[in-house]
Amino acid sequence: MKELTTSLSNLNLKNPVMTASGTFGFGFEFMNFYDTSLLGAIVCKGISRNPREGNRGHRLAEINGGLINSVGLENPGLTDFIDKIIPEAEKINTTYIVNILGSDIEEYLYIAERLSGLKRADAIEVNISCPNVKSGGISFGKDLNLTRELARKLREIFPRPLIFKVSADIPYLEIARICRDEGIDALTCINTVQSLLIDVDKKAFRFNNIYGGLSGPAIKPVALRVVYQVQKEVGIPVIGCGGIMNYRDALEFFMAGASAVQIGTANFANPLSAYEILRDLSEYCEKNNIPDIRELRIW
Amino acid sequence: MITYSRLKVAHIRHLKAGYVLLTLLYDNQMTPPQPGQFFMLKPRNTIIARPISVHNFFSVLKKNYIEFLFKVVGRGTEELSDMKKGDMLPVWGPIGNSFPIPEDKRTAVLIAGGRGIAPLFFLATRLFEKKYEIHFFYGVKNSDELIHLLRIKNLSTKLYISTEDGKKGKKGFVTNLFQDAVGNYSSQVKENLLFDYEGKKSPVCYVCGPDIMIEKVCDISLTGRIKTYISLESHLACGTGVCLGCTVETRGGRLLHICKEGPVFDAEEFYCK
Repeated sequence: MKELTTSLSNLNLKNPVMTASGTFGFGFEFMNFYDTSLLGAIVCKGISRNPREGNRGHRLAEINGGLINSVGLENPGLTDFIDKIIPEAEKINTTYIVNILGSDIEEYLYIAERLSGLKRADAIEVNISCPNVKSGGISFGKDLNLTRELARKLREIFPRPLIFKVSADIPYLEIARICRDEGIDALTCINTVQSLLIDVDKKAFRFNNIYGGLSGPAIKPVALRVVYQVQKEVGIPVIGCGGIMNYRDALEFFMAGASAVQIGTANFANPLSAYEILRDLSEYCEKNNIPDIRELRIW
Repeated sequence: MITYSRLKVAHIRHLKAGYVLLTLLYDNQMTPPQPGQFFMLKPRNTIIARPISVHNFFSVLKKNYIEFLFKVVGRGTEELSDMKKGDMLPVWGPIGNSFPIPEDKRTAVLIAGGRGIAPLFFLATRLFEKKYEIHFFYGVKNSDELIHLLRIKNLSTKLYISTEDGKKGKKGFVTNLFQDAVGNYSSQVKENLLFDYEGKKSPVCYVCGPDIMIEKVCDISLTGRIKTYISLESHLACGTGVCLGCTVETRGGRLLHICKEGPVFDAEEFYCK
């Protein structure tokens, strides 16, 4: 396979194909299907300070062109992650990025500080779509001052690359500027799109939590818009994410300005997706004599 | 071990009442399935695959075949029902745990409602091979939904049928049939059929069907202190333990995952007497 190294500020990857948080477990679950060490990076399931059970009731619904989830950030918590999962993840020979979440700034900082001492946490991806308890449940990303404070403090604590993951539902351009100014290495664009589903027969909301997050091909054009705008207006390196089902979808993101991509929902459609996208992308670059994926940008 | 493969459609039969029997040539690199386990079957045009339990696994002329029985209920199953002989279907599995089979040769009571017959038929074939006594309760809405009646009859020591339209077997619900039979058994305790609290011959129940049916059956079987295993379903995106979409809530309020802790559960986790 052709070498496709890429770098996003201080984050250096052996190739630009990563997995999206929440769609690939902790990376070793897919070892039956292929050697996940081949991927550019693995972004693990989001980790909170304490274990989270997740939402009750329905958690998934497939719609035309997409998947809506209301999983509710179920995860084993930081202690189990460090004690039980990290040793398993040592077997994976590629960049390992830990996605973190918090209900207040202190929770993010606590997790980042503990991860800073762990070699296996090559980088952190920060989910800022979580509701902030102290500002009445509004997501972090909607509060620019809070986001700035979070970025600044995380930068002080964590010595390795930091990525912020944004959704299209928050003022992402302002956040991109804040992240750039505070020394955040890259932005993942985008998280799922907030959605709502109604069960007509039951005359009820489909999810106990009312809202869910939409992923899959339906959000790809939205994701491309955000990637392009962030890259053009702000210039911070971008990891494109949203509805990439094959290598041609990935090419669209590189052409829009992304330096790497994350594969999410496609991992459900076919557990080999991320590997196949990497393989096909590599073949495309070889055939078209493209030495650096970033040269694909069309503007 | 869960692995991925593309299996060739060896045969597809459209049965009555929207049921489809899909037979695939098995890939011998894959782990052989056990009764209760399921596979993810990926239709070409859906976003995610569909979890379908194994209905049968058998060999003919040194070739292994896997069979899925499903009812067309939506877009995914509709597309699967349109498959043609020779088509290749992406699948991964076998997924989840299986029905525990006790070492001692106690009576096995299988209670199936509607498409709940799918995994219980596979279980019956295995119990039959192991020479277990099988009491099969099988209920459907309309009599044309009854699948494989003759084969089930051959596997069973006793077969009880119920239909809501009353055209075959006893009119009504399979739960009533089960209740009546348990009543009869109770009066025959000395024959060690179902209720022998002392001895090792207390039977084991396996249940699969609509939630409400499972609940009623468990109410009866757990009252009789009969070991009961149920097979549950849920919406599922991955089948590999990462989407975390397939939770079911126990009576204690714990959330369990169909693909990891299930799909077969001890009924006492969910219902209590």
